[in-house]
Amino acid sequence: MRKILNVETDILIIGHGAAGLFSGAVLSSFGKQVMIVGEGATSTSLSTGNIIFQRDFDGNVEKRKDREITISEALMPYVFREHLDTEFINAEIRAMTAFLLPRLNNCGLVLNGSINRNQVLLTNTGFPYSCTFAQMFASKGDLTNLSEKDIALLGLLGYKDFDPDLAALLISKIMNMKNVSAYWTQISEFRRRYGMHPTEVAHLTHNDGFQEQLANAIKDIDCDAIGIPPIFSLLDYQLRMTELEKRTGREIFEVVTPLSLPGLRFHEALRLAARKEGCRLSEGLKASSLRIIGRRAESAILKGKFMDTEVKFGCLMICTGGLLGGGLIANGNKIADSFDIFQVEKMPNFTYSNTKYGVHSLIQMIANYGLKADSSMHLYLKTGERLENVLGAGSVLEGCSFPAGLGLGGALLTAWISTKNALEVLDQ
Amino acid sequence: MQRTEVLIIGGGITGAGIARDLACRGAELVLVEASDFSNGATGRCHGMLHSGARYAVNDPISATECAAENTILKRIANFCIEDTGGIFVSLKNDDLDYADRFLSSCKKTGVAAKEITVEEALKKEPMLSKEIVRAFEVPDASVDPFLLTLGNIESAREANAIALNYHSVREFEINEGVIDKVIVENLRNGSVEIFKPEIVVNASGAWANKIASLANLSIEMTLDKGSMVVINGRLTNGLINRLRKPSSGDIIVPSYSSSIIGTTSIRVDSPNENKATEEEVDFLIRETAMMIPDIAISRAVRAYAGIRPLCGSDRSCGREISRTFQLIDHSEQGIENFISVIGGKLTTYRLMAERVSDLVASKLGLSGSCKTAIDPLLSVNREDIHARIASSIANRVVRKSLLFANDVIQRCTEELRGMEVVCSCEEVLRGELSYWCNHQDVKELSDLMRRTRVGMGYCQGGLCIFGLLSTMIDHSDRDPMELLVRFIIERERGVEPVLFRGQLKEEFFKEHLINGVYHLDAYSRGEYEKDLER
Repeated sequence: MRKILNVETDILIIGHGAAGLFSGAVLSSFGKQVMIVGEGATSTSLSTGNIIFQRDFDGNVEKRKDREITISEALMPYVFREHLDTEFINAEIRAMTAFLLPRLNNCGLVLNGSINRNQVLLTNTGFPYSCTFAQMFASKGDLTNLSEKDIALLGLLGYKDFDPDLAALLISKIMNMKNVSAYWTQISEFRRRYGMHPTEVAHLTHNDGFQEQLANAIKDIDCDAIGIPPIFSLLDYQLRMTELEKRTGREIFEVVTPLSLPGLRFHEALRLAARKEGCRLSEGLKASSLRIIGRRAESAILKGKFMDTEVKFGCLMICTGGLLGGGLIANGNKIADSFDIFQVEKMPNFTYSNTKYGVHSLIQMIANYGLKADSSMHLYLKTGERLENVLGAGSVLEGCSFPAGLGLGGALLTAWISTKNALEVLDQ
Repeated sequence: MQRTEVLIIGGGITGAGIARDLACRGAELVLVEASDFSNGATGRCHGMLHSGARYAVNDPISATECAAENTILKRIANFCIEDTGGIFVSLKNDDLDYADRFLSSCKKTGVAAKEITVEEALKKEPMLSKEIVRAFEVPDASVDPFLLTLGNIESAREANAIALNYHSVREFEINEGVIDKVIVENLRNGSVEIFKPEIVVNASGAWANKIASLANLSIEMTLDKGSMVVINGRLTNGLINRLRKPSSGDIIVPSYSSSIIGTTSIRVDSPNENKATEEEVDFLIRETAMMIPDIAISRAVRAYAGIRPLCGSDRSCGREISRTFQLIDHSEQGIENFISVIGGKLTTYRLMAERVSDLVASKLGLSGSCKTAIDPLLSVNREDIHARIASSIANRVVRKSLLFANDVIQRCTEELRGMEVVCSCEEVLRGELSYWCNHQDVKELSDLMRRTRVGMGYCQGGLCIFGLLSTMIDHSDRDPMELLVRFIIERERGVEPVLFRGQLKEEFFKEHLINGVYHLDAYSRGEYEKDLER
């Protein structure tokens, strides 16, 4: 018989991705006792860090590249269908950002510019127009003025994730910018053949020799602005960049690369924010069962490595996401089965074989599966009953999973609205 | 206009084999292939070098042919054959009399089959189901069909043959029962080239009827789709066959880092219907998991299908049709200098090529005799290479590099980033890619894949695709986004039927990369897809 530890908290949040951590931070800031549990890697940390609020109901990213989109045109995740009041949603987005930004700043990140997409940010080979503000977290600041400058992209041999030649070519093709050139340099500590893992690189950046080599390579380039791969870790990122700028007298910015996982930085920042607000964060616990009495959930059993924990709560939030959590159902197979007591919306008459879509569109369609919730985010049981104190947030909700839903934008927005309802639940 | 003695249509293994055979006999020849070499049924087969055992009971002609060719190919083409051996197993409810008939038929047809005890079998193949009741050892082997084809092409080129991929035959000009001119479109630049051959050989496999129709002829043949599933990881040491009358889901072939399970048999009307379906995937996994239970829980990486060009057009099931080949001299139908070859198997390609070449040689009055059963396909001096590079790398690179090992190694060692590993699933070096990018045959990213195995591993190009792209654009002026989209669409065809469990998660992650970072959403892909259709 495994030992059971008893814990009591105001709010239990299952899932430690963007939605879970952000909800935790918000609720803690209202003085509530919050416990966040999660297991393994999150989709947030695997993501591109894009926070997008504009997607249409088919799950497509906004289709026209040339047009500036304002938030008032923003489209909402499926769960907001019932109150499609753009004014309401816009106000929520603004309030949410106002809450989020100062807390992220405390984590050493800077946001420049407003939340619209008409900004230029150089990414490795990505389409610059698709990079919204979260990707700017990974970089130094507002790069709108770069189009007038001479820009150099510096590749480090061994850092295989960033190829300045390819990046420069694509940027010049896509953005019609002829002022981008590519350079390579060799850092003596870098392993060339198998490349370097980002954590190894981050470790090396503390080394004085490394910084000097990098600074010398940058000094050799006759350009005002120089892009380097994202090699610094979140904690000393700002310090290192400023130091490098001082040493070289150049403007330095980071580029986003395919596997640099800018989402990881965003995830780390959120985690620090949640901790600072006073959340209790238990990673490595897996929710295994819920005790439900009537239409209220009373407690949850969490399985750990050595012992189980029974957590009594006033309100439960499920933020397990669409990719790695319990929400995803495809081809009738549940990928994880922790939450099969909840009602899942299925797409009618959906089969793969007779569709004209490619794999990626298929995934978009599959991702539409998710837990059924109403517009106040309350979840429904399989039996059709609405639970009074169980709320969903993030991609676990129907239609919110990336890429069909809103990705990080949707996760944060649903979490923001969910927390308000959670506070109401607690007050009752 | 270019004069030539022989024009071969089709760059699959049959065409390539004929080209090598005839070129070695001293014939002047041109081979044209509409797509890339080995892109038809050749590259979409199981990669199984038959011992003949599978056909011993029901199709003794094929069995005898396979048994003889098996030995020859292991000798002449060892660079692309992994001599793994194979086991035939009977399961509990299988017809046990069949096993005895199997053993006696193998003896008659010259197939070296030997019964082993169940314990021995389980020792050789620990993943085998405990339900097996009898087991027989046979000399089956695993063969890389891409390398085998390219090896024949390069060997033919060494003997002064001309082989052209991305050249599609458009028209025959027939004059008094003789094909006078063949009009060929160069798909790289859209230009038209005219050949004036003395003899035309139609070795276009599933497209044989389409080519014959250009001369107003028709060939009696059946198109039969066979689908296969690539399973992550090498689950067996050798090939595993189900001991029963040949049917679907009988075979497991270990190939590089994966296991390939197959096949199905479905009659189709057009060679373009070569897409595996979800139902086929489910069926194959269910059937083969009876022999190797772990298949049911492994990740299915990809599914693909090839079209067998079988002889005859009777309406029976594809499994009933013999796997032997047929040589058609169209002079009886009024075209003097036109020969078609259909049917056959990868294992018997050399024999087919020899028979075709004999006929062509007698028509041309060539005196040289066939040497393909004796001369090794490629001969490379490996010692020189081993002195220059670590042997673990050399073995892998040399095996894939055909005649060009020296040049490839030179690229790897001399280029600034030549030794970088671009594709870590298959350990492909940037120098290798760089060499092949400059090769005359390479047009698309998938051509690089057939030559180096880049992107064929268990991530299916998910992580190496950008490294691949960056190498390609160093050597080509093509629009990188177009190359990328073409490659992704090609890879997706095979992933779609296996979109469940592990592979679904994998694709979700790729979706993050491709749609998120590169913004290849449905819309921009749609634009390219429209272009591709045109």
